[in-house]
Amino acid sequence: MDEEMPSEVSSVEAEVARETWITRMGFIFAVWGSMTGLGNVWNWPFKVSVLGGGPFVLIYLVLLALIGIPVVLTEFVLGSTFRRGFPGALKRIHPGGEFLGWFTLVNAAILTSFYVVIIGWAAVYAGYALTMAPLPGAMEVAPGVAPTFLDQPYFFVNVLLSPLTVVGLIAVWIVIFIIDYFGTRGIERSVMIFFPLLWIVIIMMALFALAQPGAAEGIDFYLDPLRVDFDYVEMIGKATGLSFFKLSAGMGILTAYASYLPRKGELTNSAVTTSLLDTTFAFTAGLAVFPIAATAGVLGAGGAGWAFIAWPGGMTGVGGNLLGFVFFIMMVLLGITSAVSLTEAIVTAVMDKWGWPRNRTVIVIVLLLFVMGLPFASWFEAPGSAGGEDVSWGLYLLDIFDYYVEFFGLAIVALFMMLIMAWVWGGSKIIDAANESGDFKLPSWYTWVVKIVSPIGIAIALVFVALQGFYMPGVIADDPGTAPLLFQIPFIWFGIVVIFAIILWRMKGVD
Amino acid sequence: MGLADIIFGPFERFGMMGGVILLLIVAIIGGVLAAYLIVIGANILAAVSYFLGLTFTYGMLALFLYVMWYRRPK
Repeated sequence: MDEEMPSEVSSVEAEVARETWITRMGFIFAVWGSMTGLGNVWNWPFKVSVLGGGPFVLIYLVLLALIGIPVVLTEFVLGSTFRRGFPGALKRIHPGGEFLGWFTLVNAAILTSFYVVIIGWAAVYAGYALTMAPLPGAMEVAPGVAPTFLDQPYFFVNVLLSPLTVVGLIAVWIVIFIIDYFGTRGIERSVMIFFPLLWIVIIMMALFALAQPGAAEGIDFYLDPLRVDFDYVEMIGKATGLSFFKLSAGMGILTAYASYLPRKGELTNSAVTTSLLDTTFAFTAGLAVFPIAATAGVLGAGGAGWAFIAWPGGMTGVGGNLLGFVFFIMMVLLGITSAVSLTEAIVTAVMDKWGWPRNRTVIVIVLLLFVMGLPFASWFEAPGSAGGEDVSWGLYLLDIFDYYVEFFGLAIVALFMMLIMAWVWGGSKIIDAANESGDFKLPSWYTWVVKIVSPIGIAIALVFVALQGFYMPGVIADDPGTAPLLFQIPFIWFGIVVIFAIILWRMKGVD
Repeated sequence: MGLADIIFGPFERFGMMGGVILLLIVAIIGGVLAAYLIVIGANILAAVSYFLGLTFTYGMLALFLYVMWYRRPK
């Protein structure tokens, strides 16, 4: 059948043949899977712990309603109204909008390429946590003793330097490929399994954590508002940024997913529920992780170093290997649902613009992203801060790229997207489109939240990100050898993204 | 009958207010767990934060999921 059909189909045919989500919950779970990633476990709870505990959570929820949810809602409206991926939908509002769309997706492609590398590490860790096998060919902890999962940081350094990272990368990409190959059906089926599984795991872990000897210490560390001195300005600035960084906004994902909604699909409650599901999961992750970390003596500052060095290093008690396995499998599944959504955002845009069939598009995009990720998976020894050889150069490369791609890139895109939608297309149109089939009606004053409050919030977050970027604590001070990268990478990143965005924008398509 | 029918069905008689009742139930559960935390030695402010965090995340989530279920095509 396929051989008789032309591979490039017209825009009208593509519109008629467009896939749709089978169930509303399938869409909700898929969006939640996209929003909820590795950061829900190793980042958000740690931000809460140093920025005011419980009061930070409440302020975050208010900012979620004023800044994050309007962005989510706007992307949903964009996708469901124009039934196109991010560039195609923005093009229908303004011809230049397509450039912003491709800028977003090139940025998302870089993000995906190294995000999957980290998921690959977690996959390797899950296997070694369960078996506690020694790492073959690694630098020895003691004469004749190869490091195991518990021997940190030797194990982590050796994993980074071994071909295992590429094996993990390939394994994760195979899973992403299989899910995305089957389109919305594949995504929907996978999240229908992953969603309940992940919630059962995190709730069981939180209940298990309450019974641990370190429960009180862990909860104090997490939620006591007076534990650390914090700056209210920093607290609100960070909460503002997190309220939309965490919601997959500014990556074209929400637009792509909403483009597969049936006509007059519900948007308002979907935006609120998915955002709350994400926040609730992150809150629960803190309740699960901190008491266990306190019991194991590994309370720390979060991030990749904490997850891959401190946490496994503390799993020395009875059943620690099982706990380590559960933790890293959870990380793998959380990461995969997000990586699938990033890949799908790109796949949708390519299918829309050139009319390619899904199978060809998924093969090309997955191979491209896999190759792009190889430099991030190819670690080598370089002079470290202590004068010896270590892998710090590679880690800083990933850290710095992550900083510009994730924070600068997303904030810029989210800000311009909100301005185009609210001011060029019309804030009242967004509210009308959302209210058309909403579970509840948004009040007319919410138009001003979309037009004024949310863009100002994003702009404030962008200023905080920029100010932080000038200092990048830890990079220059800790490792003078990496300092030049700090100044080169923003230009490399911006140059790559802009050049490829222009090329893709100017290429002729069928849409 | 799905899981949502089992969870939300008993509250249907309260109309849209059923979501608020669910929120209150979550608050009560949060209060009990917060009291347990104080008993095992957690700081009172951390326990209050626990209560508020649980109520406004799980409680609000329950409320909006109930609205979604209540407004489902029948």
